[in-house]
Amino acid sequence: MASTSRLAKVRARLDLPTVRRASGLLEGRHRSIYSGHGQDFDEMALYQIGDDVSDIDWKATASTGHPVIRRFVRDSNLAMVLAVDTGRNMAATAPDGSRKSDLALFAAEVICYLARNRGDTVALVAGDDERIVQIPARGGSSHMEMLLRRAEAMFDLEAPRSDLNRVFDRILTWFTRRSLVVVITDEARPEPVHEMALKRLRTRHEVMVVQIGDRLPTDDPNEVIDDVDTPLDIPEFLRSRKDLVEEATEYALRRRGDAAALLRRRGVEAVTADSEDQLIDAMIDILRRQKRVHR
Amino acid sequence: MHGWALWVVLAVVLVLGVIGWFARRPRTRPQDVTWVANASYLPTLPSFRTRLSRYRLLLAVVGVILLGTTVATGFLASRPVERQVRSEELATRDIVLCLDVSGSMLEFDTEVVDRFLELLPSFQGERIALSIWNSTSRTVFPLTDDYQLVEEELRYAADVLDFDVDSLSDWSFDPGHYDRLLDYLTGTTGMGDNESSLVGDGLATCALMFDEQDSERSRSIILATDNQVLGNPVYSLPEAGQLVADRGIDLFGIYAGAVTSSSAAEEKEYRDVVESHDGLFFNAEDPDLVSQVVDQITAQQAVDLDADVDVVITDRPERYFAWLVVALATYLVAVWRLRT
Repeated sequence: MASTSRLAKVRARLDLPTVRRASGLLEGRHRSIYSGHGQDFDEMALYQIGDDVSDIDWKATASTGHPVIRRFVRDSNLAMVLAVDTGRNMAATAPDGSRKSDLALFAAEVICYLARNRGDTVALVAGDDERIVQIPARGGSSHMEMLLRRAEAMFDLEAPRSDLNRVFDRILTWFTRRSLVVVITDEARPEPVHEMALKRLRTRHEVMVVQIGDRLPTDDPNEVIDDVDTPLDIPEFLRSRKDLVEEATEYALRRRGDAAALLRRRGVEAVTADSEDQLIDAMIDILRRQKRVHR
Repeated sequence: MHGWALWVVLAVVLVLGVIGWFARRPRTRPQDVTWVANASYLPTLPSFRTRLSRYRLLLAVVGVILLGTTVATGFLASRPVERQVRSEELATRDIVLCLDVSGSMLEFDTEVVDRFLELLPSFQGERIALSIWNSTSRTVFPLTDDYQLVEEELRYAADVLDFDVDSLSDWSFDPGHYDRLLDYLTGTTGMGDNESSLVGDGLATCALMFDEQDSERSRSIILATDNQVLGNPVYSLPEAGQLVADRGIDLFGIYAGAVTSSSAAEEKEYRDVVESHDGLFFNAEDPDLVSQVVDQITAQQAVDLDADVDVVITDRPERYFAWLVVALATYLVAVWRLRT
């Protein structure tokens, strides 16, 4: 398993006919999922919230009565930065029962796969409270494979706590070329403490966030659960009562909402995924929405 | 019985608890734990908190119950017993209360009856009779161990006999009470009008009250009189004393008389008769002393009967077993609640 190419696995996954049809990803319906500010005019499109106001074609807008933007085919290679949260929270359980790190890696694989096909470069900044790993931007399969393995090796229950600010700071310090920063973290982040760093990051780079869902601690009354950061030691007597489930669900939803509000405030596209299937669709969707990457 | 066992059990449990506390292994993480992230909010949820406080309460209850079972076990280990100092010999006593109910003696009679009322609950097989006499005898109740009847009769006797004779002179008595007294004394003043306190006859009658001559029982008469004889008794006091002695009956004499010109001689005759037959003679000048006299009599009986005191030990674990069962049941229920 470990010997097989990660990108090959992703391709196998994305090549499933249903997925392909759903996304139109490899069918040529889109020449590039990364449209941007190239020389070649691509298409006219209705303005949507999040689009760059400077892209608005005022003449077309005046004639149609709706705000219309002009899209261009992006003509240069895109620099991408995978910003991966490798705190121990990422080694915990996802809503579908798998490890969150598996979903995170899958998201990274999809990014790498698409980037390789496009000929884009991908850099990696993976870190937490104590560690930080930085791999400079390069293209090519072997680079991507190495990068993914490196990230994979960092996910562990014994890992230090999560600290997104260190990752953000590292990117701010080292990456001067405008890039697409794909932050892979979990549903509870970014928290308000990350907002300033995110804001600064946003001024220099395009940012999108992939949030991996967390399993609710009350999902299964029979399983012994514990938190990776704070030992809970919940006695059996306290597990998963109905009112507790309701309150926990409500709390988790509210926290997701808070994170989403923060991201919206900072103009950052985000997607939350609870399972691999959901992740594919979400990734395709968000990449299509990601239009404003400047050189 | 082994009072120390309670403390030993408590100490052992305490020591084991302390050892267990210090020797407890650091909490090992269960292998099959499902790790989740960002769940530290869970203990802050209100429903979790209420449930946690309930959980702690249950834990406290379990702790208290465990303490309770420990104490109950300790009590059981210390072998709870009921100790009864009982003499089989004393239990075979037949006692006849032979009371002179001439006017001057009523007060003393009341005291004797009262004292026996108090002694009654400790009787186990003793038989008592009550005979009152003046010029003739009346058997209030014969020898019996029907303590319910004995108690009723003694209580009534104590009530009725508690009559102040002096109140007759100044008409301050309660006529109803006086009527009841007269009723009660009917039959003790028969025959000639001028006869009273025929001690010999009264004592002889009492001596004849003992039945079951074949069985080995201790027989005693407690005679209370002032020995002021008026009239012609069939038995003189010495003759009656001889009759009593012949029948193997112990005589306990209580003398209680006002000082008169003849009282010293009367007391001496009484004393001589009683003591010549190895009886015990008491001069109870004061009605309050009567109860002490009765105690001395019973003590003397114990000595006379060579009643080696048997300590009857009865195990009484029932209460602690009940505690233990209830506590354990509660414990099981509580633990079951804690586990589900």
